[in-house]
Amino acid sequence: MLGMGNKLRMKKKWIEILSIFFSYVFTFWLLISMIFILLRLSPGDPALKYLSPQLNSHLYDYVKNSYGLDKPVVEQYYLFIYNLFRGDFGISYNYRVPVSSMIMETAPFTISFSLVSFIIQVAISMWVIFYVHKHKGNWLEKSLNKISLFLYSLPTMTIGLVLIYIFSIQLGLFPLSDVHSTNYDELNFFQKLFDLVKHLTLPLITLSLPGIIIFYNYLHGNIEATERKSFIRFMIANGFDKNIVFKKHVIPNSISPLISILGTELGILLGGAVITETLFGLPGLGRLTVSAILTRDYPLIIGCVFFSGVFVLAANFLADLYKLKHDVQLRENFKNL
Amino acid sequence: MIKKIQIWHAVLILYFIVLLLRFNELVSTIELIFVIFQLLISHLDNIANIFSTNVVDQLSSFAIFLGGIIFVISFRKKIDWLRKKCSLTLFTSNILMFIFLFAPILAPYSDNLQFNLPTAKRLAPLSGRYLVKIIDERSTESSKSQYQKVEETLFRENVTPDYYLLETPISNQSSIGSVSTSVIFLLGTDEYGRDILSRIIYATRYSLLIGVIAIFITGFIGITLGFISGYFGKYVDILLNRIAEMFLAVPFIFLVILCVAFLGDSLLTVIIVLGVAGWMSLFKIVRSEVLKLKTRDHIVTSQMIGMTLSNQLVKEFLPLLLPSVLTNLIFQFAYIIIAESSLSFLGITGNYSHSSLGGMIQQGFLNLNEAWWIILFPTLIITLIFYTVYNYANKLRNIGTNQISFTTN
Amino acid sequence: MKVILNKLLSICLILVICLSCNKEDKSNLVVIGLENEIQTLNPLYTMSEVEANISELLFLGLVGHDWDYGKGEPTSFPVLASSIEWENDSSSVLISLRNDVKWENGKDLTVDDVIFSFDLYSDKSVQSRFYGTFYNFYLNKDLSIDLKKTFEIINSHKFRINFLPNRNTSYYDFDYPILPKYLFEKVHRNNLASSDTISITSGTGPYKIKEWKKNQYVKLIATSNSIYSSPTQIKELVFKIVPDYTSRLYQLKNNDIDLTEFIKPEDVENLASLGRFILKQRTGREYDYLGLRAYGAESNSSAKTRLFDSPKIRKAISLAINRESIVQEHLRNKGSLMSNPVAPIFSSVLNKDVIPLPFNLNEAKLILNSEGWNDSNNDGFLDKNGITFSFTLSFPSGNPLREYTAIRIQNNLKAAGIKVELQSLEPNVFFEKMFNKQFEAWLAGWSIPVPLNLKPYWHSDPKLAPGNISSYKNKRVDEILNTLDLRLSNNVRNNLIKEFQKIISEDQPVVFLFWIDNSVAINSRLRNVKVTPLATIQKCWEWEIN
Repeated sequence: MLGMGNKLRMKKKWIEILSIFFSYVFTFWLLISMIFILLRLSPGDPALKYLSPQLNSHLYDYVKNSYGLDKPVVEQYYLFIYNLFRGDFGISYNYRVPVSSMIMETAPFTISFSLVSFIIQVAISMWVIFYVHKHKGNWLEKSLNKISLFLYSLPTMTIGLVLIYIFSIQLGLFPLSDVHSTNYDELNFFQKLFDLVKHLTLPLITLSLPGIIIFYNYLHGNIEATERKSFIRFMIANGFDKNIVFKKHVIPNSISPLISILGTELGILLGGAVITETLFGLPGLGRLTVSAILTRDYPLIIGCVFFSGVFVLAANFLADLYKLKHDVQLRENFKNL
Repeated sequence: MIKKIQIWHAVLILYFIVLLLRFNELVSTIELIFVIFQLLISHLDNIANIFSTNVVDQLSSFAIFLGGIIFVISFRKKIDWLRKKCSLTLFTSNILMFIFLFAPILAPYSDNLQFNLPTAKRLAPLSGRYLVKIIDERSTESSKSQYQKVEETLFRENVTPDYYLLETPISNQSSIGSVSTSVIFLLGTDEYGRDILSRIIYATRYSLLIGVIAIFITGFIGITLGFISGYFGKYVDILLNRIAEMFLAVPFIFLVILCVAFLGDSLLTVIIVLGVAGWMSLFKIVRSEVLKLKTRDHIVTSQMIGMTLSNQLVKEFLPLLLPSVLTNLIFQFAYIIIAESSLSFLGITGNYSHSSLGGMIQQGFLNLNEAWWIILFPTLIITLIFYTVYNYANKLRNIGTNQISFTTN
Repeated sequence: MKVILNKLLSICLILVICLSCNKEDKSNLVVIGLENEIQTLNPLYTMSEVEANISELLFLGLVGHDWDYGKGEPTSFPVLASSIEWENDSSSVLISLRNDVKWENGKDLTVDDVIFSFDLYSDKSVQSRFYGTFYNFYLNKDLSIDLKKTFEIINSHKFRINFLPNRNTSYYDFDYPILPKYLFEKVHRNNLASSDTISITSGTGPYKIKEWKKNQYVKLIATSNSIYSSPTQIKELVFKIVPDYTSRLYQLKNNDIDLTEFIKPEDVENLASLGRFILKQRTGREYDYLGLRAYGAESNSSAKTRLFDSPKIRKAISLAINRESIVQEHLRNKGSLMSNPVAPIFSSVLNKDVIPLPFNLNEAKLILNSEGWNDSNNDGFLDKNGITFSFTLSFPSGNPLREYTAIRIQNNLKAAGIKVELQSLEPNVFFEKMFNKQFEAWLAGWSIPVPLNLKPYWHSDPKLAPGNISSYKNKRVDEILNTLDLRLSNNVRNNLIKEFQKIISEDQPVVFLFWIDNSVAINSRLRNVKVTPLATIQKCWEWEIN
């Protein structure tokens, strides 16, 4: 009996996972189609740079033909989806290079940059919380709350600009832009590391600061809520060490909701990276996307959106799986979906 | 002492400051009203020419200004809200409200007024100069009507060749036939010789306006779709949920850039795009609340007695949804203002005919080495707006439900 | 335990910092700061000037060019050719190739490579940027070069090019980078654009690509087997992309960048005063104009939209705009007023009698009055038959000079009684609309080609002149432009160009605003950098480091 129940439950679980997966695939299809439609409706001309008095006017026509934009939209759409299935994003109009290789060139940087920033955000906000928890109720906590509010009010670009102005221009401590120096390849490992740190400190602060505050506020609220829960009170009343209770029970219980916002947080990171990358001249996905949009490089736009979409949706999917495993209540909610 | 300041005190203090600083402007406005009345009597056929947007703006601001002062003084005893303690947030929001409502009165010049460059380029804050008006006897000066003269002193939209900015006053005024007045640029001027104070005032106003209209759009879409999704459930729910997920999968800023680049960067498009791009989180909140509320007795009863859907939404659901919806919308408001300035910072919008905070920051960045003030003041204003708005949202969140809304985007 | 760990960590940190004190060795490396991304270096597809200049470091052409300041025209010298002999009537040219030029695989450069290159450049399926511009050649129907008629192979290093008879031929007709046949023929012509052949090979040039990171930099490294290779040649050239101007300027000041173009006029003085930089001007290659839509004979346009049909009105607008103040205040005199599209650098053909219109508001008002525009309703703006003189001026966003000019024009014209609404558009949308002739007034600019080529801008046939956006039409101008394509004596040619300048200055098809100088800043440790109207990044193999 019990075995049967388990099997049934397993089967049910797999069905749930599959249904979630397919709903994400559906979302993804919606996303790609929306971008496709947006692009076809938009004004602007991807072959514009071939329209010049110094070039033959036929060249413009041929290039435009080769982009396949004169075919009926339905046929374009069919080809587009067909190519996507084959993993072929097409060739960037501007760079004359397959889109996938363009993205492969910029993605590693963006991913590692966002990831490092994410880790910094979590680590620093956790550290601040521990610190504040130790000195609970004194002026520090109150002033931190005020300061965090003020810092949170600063837009990304302002943070970046202030940092650049103080540390790069006035003090000359950090370089203004780029990921590493021009002679990067000739350096030894430590020098490379130092070079990277030197170049990426300011961008990382810029990108992470708002996130640190969000996490801080969010975790702070969660921790207070958890501390009010009866089992914690019970433990403390029974004479367990407060710090141990805090570390072993309060923190883990407060962090788990974080997983659910992982995807959204990634979206914020990718979006925030646009401004950071523009400010610091970093070769990331955000800048690539913006320049692709501005020059109407359709395949590249779709490639970039595809990539960031996969990134965010995959994170959401994992978060959903996590919830499915750990949160029964949410599972009930999924039945409504 | 400070703790005893009530809201109406704060408002009156602000009024007093404005009166003190902008007395000439107010007098000119009264003069303008007077002249317009004269014109109305004499040239009734020319009305359309008189009421340009500038004039209407100025007059309505003036009317609200007068109305406000009378209102506050006469009702300070009757309305409890006015006697509340004035916290910092309330004070800053009062300042923002003043800028928003009285921009034409507060701003010394029009936001696009360029003074002659060699003298006016990148003046530091608080620097004084002399504005000289050359009165040429042969020029059309005498032919100008009283109305045109008043209009000119009030708006000074563009510098005509008659105006010059000089570093020292002209000593022998009679020889050229000129009038010089000393002017102070409180926050300095920018690269193009435009007064930063005026630009900031107008830019703040536009930012707030964009934010307000955009959250109305966000609110409308979010509540309607959330309600439909939660109320009907099933396939509609699944579809709408997927669509929301889809919007969430693209970073907010990408989505906005994409739309703005493709739909054009007119003010209206930017507002609509910003409004539409942020509906998802509100949608999710409304949906889950409606799901919870749906089964409550009074809702079921209202269904049974045959209330129409819109009636149910407005009369039964909305009052209960209000706290969480408002909290979310206020957050959205802050994000929209930041997004708007980020867009003009990236150079994607902000080229409409008025000034914008992000555009000013971007311009300041280009001149960072020579002029720190160009970038400082717009940044402060953005921070001020965000601070105020965020404080409100926090308060509301604490007052209202204890649910945590982690705003998305 | 914890304390020890902390100490260990801090020691490690200090060690790392000590080890990483890296002073860059820049004695053999030059960094050039670029504003725009390098999208391709394949000579077939280089669209921007910088891309073309860099690709010419990789692949040499048959000839090279210099600027003759005395004569005010480009002069040519052989590069891959050892001798060039023109036929008397310029209808054909005999070219011998140098014997010492070798490709990377050790084979000689031969006539085959040359002909193959020309074939590629003119082939429809390749879609090279030169497609359809071989006006002086015998062509096939699809505009590719008729190889049989054109090229006469004498031996593997000697050939003759036959041109169409009676054409204005010059060295520029065969000035194309020569490509290695053995590599490029392996790639299908349709796929040439996306192939990476270019980045893995070295051409005949003194540099080859070492590393190329999109959106970051291109590193070129010196080759040893080129005809321009020398031991003194700078080993490494790095073209670094820094889109943000402020950042570029600071990197220049920090010695991170050695050379960069498009310095803002106001920074020129500042940089010059530092003493560490050489500042040079590239004059006369770019101008801005105010385009005014004249409909001419085109039907179904109402009087409202036919504001600028009369040359007198256009002249009045020119007179009412204070261009001098823009040149002084915004360009800081790093530019000059203009009267017509022939740049002052072409001194041999310049008509000195044609001078720019001065700023004269009163005369402008008089002309407008005489054309029937009066302020009859006293609203400060001119009107005629109940229509107010007003128009929308469009300009591309993101260009401070144009933004500034637009606001100045608005102010100036208001003083003349003309109402101007400003509309700024995102560049891509702006230029699409501009080429589709959808604006009534617009602010744009042209960069002018060397050698002088006026036909694409001013001929009335839209097929021949995609640059004639204001639909300017003048029979005599058409005649002159058609004649200029033919073989003429220098004297006749110069006189024709001078006549053209006179006509165009009188007609004012657009309001010519000003020539814009391109200020180049060079770190003074670099020597021998020649900045001519032709290019900044040229002959990099002659550069030296102090």
